[in-house]
Amino acid sequence: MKHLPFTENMKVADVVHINYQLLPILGRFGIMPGFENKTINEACSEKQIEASFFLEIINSYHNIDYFAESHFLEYSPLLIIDYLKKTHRYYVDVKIPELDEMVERFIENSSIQNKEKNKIIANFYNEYKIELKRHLTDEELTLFPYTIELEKAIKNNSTSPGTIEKIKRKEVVGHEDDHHQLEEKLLDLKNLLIKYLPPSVRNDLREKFLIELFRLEEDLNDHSRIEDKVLMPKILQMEQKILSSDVL
Amino acid sequence: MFYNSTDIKVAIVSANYLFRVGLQTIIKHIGLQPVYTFHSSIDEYSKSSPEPNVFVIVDCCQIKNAIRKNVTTIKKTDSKTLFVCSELINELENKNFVSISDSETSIIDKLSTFFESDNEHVKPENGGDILSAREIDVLKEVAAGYSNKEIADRLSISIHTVITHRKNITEKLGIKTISGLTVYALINNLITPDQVT
Repeated sequence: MKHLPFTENMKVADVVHINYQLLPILGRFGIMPGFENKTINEACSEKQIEASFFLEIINSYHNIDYFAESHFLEYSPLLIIDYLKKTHRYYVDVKIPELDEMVERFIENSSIQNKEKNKIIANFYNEYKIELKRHLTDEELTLFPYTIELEKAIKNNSTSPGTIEKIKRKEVVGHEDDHHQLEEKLLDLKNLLIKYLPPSVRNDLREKFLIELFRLEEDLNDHSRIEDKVLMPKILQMEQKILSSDVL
Repeated sequence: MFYNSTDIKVAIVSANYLFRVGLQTIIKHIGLQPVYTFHSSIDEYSKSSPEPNVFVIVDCCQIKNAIRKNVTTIKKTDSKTLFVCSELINELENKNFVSISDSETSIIDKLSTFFESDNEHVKPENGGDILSAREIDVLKEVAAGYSNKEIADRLSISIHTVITHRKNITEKLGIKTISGLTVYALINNLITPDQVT
């Protein structure tokens, strides 16, 4: 039952009952608890969201085997970028502040014995946070605008020399590597907390922090997957289309 | 301040009669009466199945370039080591080094400190259960910010060996990034914060 894909006539409430971790995802589309008995179709229509796109997103997140890149490629890149931008907002405005607060509480409540070591871990988390934020900003300043630029060029059937130049110098290569590095660092942070930091007096605080890190990781992996397996191929597709059809 | 005299074990590594007798005299002068073992060379000492918690004093006056090798060989055997040399070698921390031309006060001072401080000697190096002594050596260098080439030079091993050690360390610990390894080293007191670049 858990693995059947969600369909447009299912109730939004049932989606939450089946997988509560989808709550933030729903939130990104502006669909928030208090949705009564509305179906996915109804809720999407109210918010002027394309229901089929919405279903692709939640089904891919819910079931890792569902991920159908080919379906995603049919959608306008603008739709995808809009979703990704909202995801960034979630990380920066909600998730990271949440984690910051947890780390602070954890440090405040450390035993004298462990305080210095806990601070070292806190510093490592801060390093990670800075790298993550930098990556997200990077995407918003280069990857996303570039995608929009390509989309416009194709739509208007006219490409500026500037755009051609960017295509030729491979503007967005190496993006996947960033994801990989961030993943490694988060994994290290988790391992340090799980294995090597000595047991804490306030284990409950450490647990909470760890669990939220796991959740962040899942969300980030889903996010990276969409970027690497949907957005990047889409960009490549558009680049090739422009280069092949362009007459200078 | 001092250990119970009879508890101390000292191994003197030197092929010179003058060195051995001179050293014993000075140690007696400080007020210690340790149990001595004598060895003609580092190799011989290592092969003699050294006991733990031994104070080792090594005569390096005639062997210039072998000092590096001596440092690393001795490190394997859980002991506190003092090197007596005829010139300052960069690899050694000041307190583990005595120059043959030091003054009486300086020598007595250094020797006293050597036998007195038990911090390094007793502080357990955690991670010893998981990582081998050699892996810990490499880990410390990585955490201090050295490149593979620099580590190879500093530990007198090949770059290939360094890389192998690093792979094993990552596999055993489950930590991949350099900053992650640094945190591990800090938490386990393998390096101090000021050693991190």
